[in-house]
Amino acid sequence: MSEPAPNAPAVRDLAATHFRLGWIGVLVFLSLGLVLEALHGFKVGLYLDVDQETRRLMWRLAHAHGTLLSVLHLGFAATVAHLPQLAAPLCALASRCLSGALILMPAGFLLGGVWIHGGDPGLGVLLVPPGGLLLLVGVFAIVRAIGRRA
Amino acid sequence: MLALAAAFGALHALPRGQSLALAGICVVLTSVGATFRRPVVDTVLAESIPTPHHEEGFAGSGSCRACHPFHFESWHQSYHRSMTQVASIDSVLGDFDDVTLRSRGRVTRLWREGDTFWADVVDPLFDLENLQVPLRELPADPPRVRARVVMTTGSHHLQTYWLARGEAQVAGERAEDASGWLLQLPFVWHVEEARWIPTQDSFLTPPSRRVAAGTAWNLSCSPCHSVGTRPGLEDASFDTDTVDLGIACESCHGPAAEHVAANRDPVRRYLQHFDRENGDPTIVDPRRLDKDASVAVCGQCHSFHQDVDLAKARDEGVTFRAGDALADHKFVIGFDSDREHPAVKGVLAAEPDAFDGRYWSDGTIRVAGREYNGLVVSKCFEEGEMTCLTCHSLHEYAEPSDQLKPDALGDQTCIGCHEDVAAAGQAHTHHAADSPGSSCMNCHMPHTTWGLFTAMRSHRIDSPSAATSAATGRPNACNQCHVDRPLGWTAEHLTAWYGQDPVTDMAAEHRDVAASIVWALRGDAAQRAIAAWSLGWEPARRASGSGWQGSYLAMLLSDPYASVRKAAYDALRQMPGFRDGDFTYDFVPGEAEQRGSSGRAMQIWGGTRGTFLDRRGTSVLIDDRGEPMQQRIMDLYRQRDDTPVRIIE
Repeated sequence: MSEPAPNAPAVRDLAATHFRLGWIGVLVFLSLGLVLEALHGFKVGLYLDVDQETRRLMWRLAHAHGTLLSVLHLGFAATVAHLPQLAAPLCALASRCLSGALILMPAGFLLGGVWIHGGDPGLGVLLVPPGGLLLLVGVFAIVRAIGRRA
Repeated sequence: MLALAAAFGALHALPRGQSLALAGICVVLTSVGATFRRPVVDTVLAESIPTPHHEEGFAGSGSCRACHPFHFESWHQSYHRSMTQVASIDSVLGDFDDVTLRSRGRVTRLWREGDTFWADVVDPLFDLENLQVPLRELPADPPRVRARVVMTTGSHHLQTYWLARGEAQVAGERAEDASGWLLQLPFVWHVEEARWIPTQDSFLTPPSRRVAAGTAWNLSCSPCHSVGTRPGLEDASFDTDTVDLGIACESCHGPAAEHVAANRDPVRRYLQHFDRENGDPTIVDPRRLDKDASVAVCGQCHSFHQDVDLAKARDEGVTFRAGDALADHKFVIGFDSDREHPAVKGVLAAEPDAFDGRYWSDGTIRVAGREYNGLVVSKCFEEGEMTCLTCHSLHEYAEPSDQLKPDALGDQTCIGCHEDVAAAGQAHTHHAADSPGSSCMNCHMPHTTWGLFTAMRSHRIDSPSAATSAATGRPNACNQCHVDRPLGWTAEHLTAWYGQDPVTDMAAEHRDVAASIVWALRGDAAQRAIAAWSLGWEPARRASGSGWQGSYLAMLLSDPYASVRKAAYDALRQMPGFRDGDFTYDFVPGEAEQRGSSGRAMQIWGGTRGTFLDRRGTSVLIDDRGEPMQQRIMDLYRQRDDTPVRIIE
């Protein structure tokens, strides 16, 4: 029987937090997917007209990124649950970064599609690059944490 | 298949891990191979059509799509875009299923080979080279070519086909002397009727036993039906290149390479998005041009003009760019233009009757597609701010046919300036508010131009005038709808309603015979065509009855002009007794062959008039018993104006 790691309670909390975040995210962004399908179903011009191509792209990206990032959160939660000896500071950093990415990236795409300028999205899309950066840092932190585990 | 089976066998022979790795490598290699596989290139086609170029500041329409998806799509759905296309199974509408066509003693054979289209025709260059040779001196068996159809023009009403007459395509001695020519097939495809028509019969042209020489796309069509085309004519050969086939973005917005390069910078783009006051200085927006420059954008093609420097145009192509002053590049030929001007002399040398066909004798343009000539002599333009874009939008149009703005389908655009007229309502129109007689366009833009087998609205915006009609023969809006009324009747109403001077100088028959009948029987070919069209126009049939026109339309079925015959047949098909399709008629064979058709149509009309005849009296030349007043009809018919009329849009 192995010894529990000294930071096991914190890791369990972290895992629980990201399981919750992940499943909420899946719920929210799959719901967004249903909304988008409904826009298709009812042939809503706001979404389907030729001049709405950019909005369509942005909202599809919001749906796709939100769903995949939610799944990533579930993966992160599973990782920390199965590897409790991961370095706590790196896990905390990864947690904050992934949480930021889960908000910023889908929100950026979603807002970018609300006001569009021809082939350019609205300024809301400016949230996406910092979200992408946080995602990269978060994933890097996980990789480092796994590499450093005892 | 054997190789595939062998590969599967080999994979099974390997250990599981290795076989998976090998399969993965195969998938990756196949994907890479597919990605970088050389596309199948139709080299004959590529060498026959104009070479693409992005010089002189042009970027090509493909570079616009990423930033302007809506504008790109609306352009893509327009008939401007498809004005010139590479011939393919997607673009070719005509029947090439081993078709043999005959016209004026010549045979043309059309066929398909896979996805390619071919023609066996008398060498079109032979006709161009022998324009001045009398018909009787031409050889009985002129040289033929077996040529590939490489491009198309048009996709809406008619489709014309262009034959590659490069060295590789031609069997004959002169093959090396002339290359790069894109020459016209002597038949066009009529889209609505799904049939072939001799090209010369698709225009309003005098009857001829001779096959008219076609044109070379490189010179005659490329200036307006493509972007940035440089014909490259040298020593009877063409080395033509082009930016875009079809009328594309840079036709109206000017060369866009600078605009495309500048707007790769996202910061600049977003600053532009939020600066709605000032346009982007790197591109032309015709809506922001002053009215002269704005109408010039359309007028570069929709006008009767000649290049100022013709020799340069033959080599370098169109020098006009959107935003330029039209006069710097093209001499727009008006009715009052100096006939001694070099540009006008050049046109008259090639086409001595150029003015007779294109203009009514009061100087109003009567060839369709030359709307600029009409607009710039209209008060709405001269004294107002009206431009083409007041009514038309190339992107936000109600439907692609006329590309009118949704507001311009009705009277809203006119009312925008003429509020007082709108307020006067029926006091101004003297017609029921919801009737065609209260439509601004019906009265002020009557259908007095001709092209594509139909009458189109004049873009010389003016008021109906019986005096003008009496003096020039130009039909007026009143008599195009009230086709059962004489010009004298119109004059009286215009005097009573609008205070126009009484018309004292009017031919006697215009006092008591419907103007449409006078023009149909005694007019020149353009008047006859437009009169025939008017007799079938739906608002005219509502206002003037629809059962009495048969005898006149039957007579026009044997008119010398094919266009008149077709207009008469189209109108006749609207009449009771002819709508059911039992009466069949082909307008293409000549006047002599049509007499029987006229007789048959007259018989049908005679058989139905007891039921449907809805007008009698001198004005329609039908007596109280319902019989045509033959003497008066033949008197007018014998006075027919046979002045040759040529309207080539």
